[in-house]
Amino acid sequence: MEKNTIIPTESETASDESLDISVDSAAIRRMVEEIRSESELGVTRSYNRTFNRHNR
Amino acid sequence: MGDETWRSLPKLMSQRTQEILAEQLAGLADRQGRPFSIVLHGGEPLLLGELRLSTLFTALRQKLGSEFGISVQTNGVLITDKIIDVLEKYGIRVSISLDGPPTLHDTRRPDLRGRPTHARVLQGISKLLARPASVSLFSGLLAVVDPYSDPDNVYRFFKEVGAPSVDFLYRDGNHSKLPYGKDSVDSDIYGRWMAKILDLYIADPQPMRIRILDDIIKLLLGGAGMKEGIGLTDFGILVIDTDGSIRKNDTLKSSPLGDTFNANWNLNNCSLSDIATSDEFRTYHIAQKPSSAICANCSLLRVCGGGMVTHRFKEGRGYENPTVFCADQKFLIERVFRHLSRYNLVEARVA
Repeated sequence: MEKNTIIPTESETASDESLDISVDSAAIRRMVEEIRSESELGVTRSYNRTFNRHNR
Repeated sequence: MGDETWRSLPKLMSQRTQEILAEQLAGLADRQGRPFSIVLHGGEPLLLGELRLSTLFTALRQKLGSEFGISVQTNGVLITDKIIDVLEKYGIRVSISLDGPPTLHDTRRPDLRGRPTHARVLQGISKLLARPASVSLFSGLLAVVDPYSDPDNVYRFFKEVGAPSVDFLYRDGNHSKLPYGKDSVDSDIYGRWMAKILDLYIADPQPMRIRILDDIIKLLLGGAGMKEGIGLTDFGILVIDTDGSIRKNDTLKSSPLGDTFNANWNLNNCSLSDIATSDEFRTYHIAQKPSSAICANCSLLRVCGGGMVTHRFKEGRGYENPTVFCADQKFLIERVFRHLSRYNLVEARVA
């Protein structure tokens, strides 16, 4: 097995029966499109740390 | 987490320090040859008021131009129309800390007089959303997770607020001082909470953005992450305090080894350019990568990234450990994987 292959492990509540997804996901679709456009444009997005801080 | 260092610092950055900062950032930009992001946080950056903010932003834009991202992370309580005018004028993006419904938010974010702040924060958000320029002005919200709260309520609340995005942070902690809600390192209470948010997010036909989830999705699909603490992309982070002192990633304040460089750098005695090429900074930069053998051999490393450095700390072992949220990361990443696998999006994606 290749190192870094994502291997899902059995998890009591992460079973397929608990996932009630029967429609296309807008969130997933959005990410697929972003990856595609970033790949085509060769976009390197800079890090935005705004979301990593909160007032302590 | 008990950090009190802010008490000894000036409340505001002086104009002279701001001028030096702008010069130094320009020098760093010239030397580095690539743009970087500047984030005003705190404390509370809007305490500067519209005049001082104007002065600061004028200096920064004059030295750096418009292509450098400048943003503000605020508690949202001091947002006024005049402040928004300043932010808009200089192309500044703003993010607001809001933990959720009033019962969640006001428990942990009262003002200095102990008064609730939730209503005032919502007023500030409304002012931002009312602006035609809100798309470029308002980044979104930042919420700290209460793992005992109802994720469904929290998700619905944020949808109603109408912000363009929400990001979630876990409470700080480490192996020697467990985060709120975790009764052991093996607890995955945060991961399970986020997984419920994920399920709602995936099923939502008009979802706001949730950055931590977007990053995990993109990483599993072979893209790159944008968020500190997810994925293996590392970012050089320096924090400049109000007195001009230069420190490491401020999240390190929550671990005993802290955020201070040995060299005790200050804007008045050194340059950011020299710091960025110094051995001490290089050592600190490299340390963002997980050093634990457990992480190195983990199949989820490329997505997890070992989490935030501060969350890896353990007495006697320093940072050479998986994140204290390892079990949470595993649960959440596996949950994302299962969602993606239903669309046959992940089988071909191997690092």
